Amino acid sequence: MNIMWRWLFAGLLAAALGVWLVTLVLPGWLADPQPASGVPTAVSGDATPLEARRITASLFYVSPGGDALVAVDREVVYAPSPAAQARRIVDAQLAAAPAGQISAIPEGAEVRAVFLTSRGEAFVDISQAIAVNHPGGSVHEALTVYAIVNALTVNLPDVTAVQILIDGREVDTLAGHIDLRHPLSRGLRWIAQYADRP
Amino acid sequence: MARPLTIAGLLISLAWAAHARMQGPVSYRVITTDGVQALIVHASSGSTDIVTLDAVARLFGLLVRDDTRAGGVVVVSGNDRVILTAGQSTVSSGGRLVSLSGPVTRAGTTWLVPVDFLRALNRGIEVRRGSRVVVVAPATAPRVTARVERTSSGGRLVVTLDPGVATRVTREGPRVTIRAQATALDLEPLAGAPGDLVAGLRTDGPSLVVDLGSAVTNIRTEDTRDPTRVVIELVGTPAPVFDRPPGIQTVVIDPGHGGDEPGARSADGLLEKHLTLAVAQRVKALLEARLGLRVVLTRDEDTSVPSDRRAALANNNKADLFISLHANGSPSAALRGAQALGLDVSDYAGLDAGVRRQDAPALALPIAGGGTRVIDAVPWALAQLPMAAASSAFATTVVRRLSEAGVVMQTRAVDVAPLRVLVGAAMPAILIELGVLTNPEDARALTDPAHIERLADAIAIAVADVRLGAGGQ
Ligand SMILES: [Zn+2]
Repeated sequence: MNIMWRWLFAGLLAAALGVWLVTLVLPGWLADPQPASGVPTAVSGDATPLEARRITASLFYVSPGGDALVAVDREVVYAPSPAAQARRIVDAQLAAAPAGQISAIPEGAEVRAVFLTSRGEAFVDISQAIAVNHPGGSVHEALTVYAIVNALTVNLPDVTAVQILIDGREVDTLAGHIDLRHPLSRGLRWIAQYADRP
Repeated sequence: MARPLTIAGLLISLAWAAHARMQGPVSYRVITTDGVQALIVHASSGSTDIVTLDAVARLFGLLVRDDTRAGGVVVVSGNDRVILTAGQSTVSSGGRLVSLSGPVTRAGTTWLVPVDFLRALNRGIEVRRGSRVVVVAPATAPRVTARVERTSSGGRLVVTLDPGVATRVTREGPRVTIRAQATALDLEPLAGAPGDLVAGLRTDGPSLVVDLGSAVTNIRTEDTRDPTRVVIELVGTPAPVFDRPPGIQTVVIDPGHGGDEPGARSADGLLEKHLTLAVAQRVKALLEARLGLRVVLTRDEDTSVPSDRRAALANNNKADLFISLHANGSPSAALRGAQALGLDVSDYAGLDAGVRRQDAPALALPIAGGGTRVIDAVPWALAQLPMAAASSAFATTVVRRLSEAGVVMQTRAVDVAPLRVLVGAAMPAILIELGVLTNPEDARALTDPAHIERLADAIAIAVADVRLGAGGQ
């Protein structure tokens, strides 16, 4: 009896390891390892240790009117590869909003992984809090999705589209409205300064 | 043995109760100068309504005495004596014979008489079987009919009174009262009136109360100098004609969310899923009553429905329009207003070639109720793409009708987004945000039944527009 449970446990562990390898690690390896030319170059002096270097990135928060995003310049930790930089940007986008800004991201949502494909698609894997804690409404959901999509596509020219995954899996929507079954390209129309454009 | 019989009995009585309900009112309104009372109909046949003699006696203060010698009963009404005999269709009243629409019968100790027996009482009683009204002199209750017609400047309400009496028309906001010099009114139900002109019509004692529809901005009473006619001009936006041109036959309405997906929520706990279902049911009722359309809801209770099934229901029913109803929520309490959205197709263009196949074969699929239907096997995954322009035109029409009805709209009233529920719909399809639940003013309005009616009415009028070719394709 005891032995059977031990085997079962070992099997599950192996399966979990396999899933982790395939969904999170492999795509990272497959992604372009060269630091792309398009990474924003507002990097502090070369003498600074890597961890202390910063880039300036546009992050997105809810406009006072509640129906669009506003871009706010923020400092984000520099990373040597596009995939790692993408991860830093999404981390910053999901962190608490700066004073005076409203976050479009539901509380408790955390980045699990970010990986890039050679076709310019970023896959952003986020913990399920982004769906479970979402208060709903198509406009709120669109702002949540496009805050993340725009944070990557606006700041990283190598990224042309973003697909949000939840707990490593493709999902239909976060809260019943916005189609997440395929990568979404930059949504300028959700940004307040562009929002009035046809 | 007893149990199956009991159940059968129960079913029969249920069926009978349902049947009785379908028969409409089961009592007469007895109009007197002292007020209105009810006379319950005991049984009804094609040619007559039967009431109990006891009920008649109670109502009119009659004395009823058995006449055992003649096998009948004697009714004393004032100075008159009315003699009834079981099985006979004539009664003797004050010495003259009065014929009835059916025979007098006796069930045990209960005497049953046709309702027109009241005429034999010599009290100036008028029995109107059609409207199930009894008028007892000196009370008066003119017969009233109303009809609503469209005109170039809006519409016209024509009320006829038979017999004619003096009337006075007053207006208070969206309510017009026509007060007649009478005890009460005998109103023939108004059928098929355009709801944007007249939303409701009812009597209140001697008054006819008219609830104006949302399209009416002003009224003008015509001086007819004719006591049998009241004519009121309904001035408003030239409204669509509710005739029946070809085009739209089936509309699928999708109440957003449901079951374990409540959607957005107001501070007071109003859930999007409940609101969308309530509005969907009203829109369905209006479209069926006014336009005679076939309307299918993707859910009619609080259940969770997958997105694909919602669009598939529209496709399988060959719907001409798909309307998904939602209510919004925003992290900013400032955002308010309704909205109509189409699909943002920009991100589907690349997927298009890979998924759609022009040479797809036709398939015979079984359909509900038996039989099969041949359909084109073009995958529905992206069926909305060729419909985008028509959907956007429909969204514009809906927004126009909502604004005309006084509904506050979002700044971006017509918008697009990559909306999951619309992607697979193979007909003009939109998502309507009825308001923003996180905004206090919108949340208050969305709990008001009059506002729900306003929203449903405007959506129904927009569908009528599309049907006429005024919107949509
Ligand atoms: Zn919704």
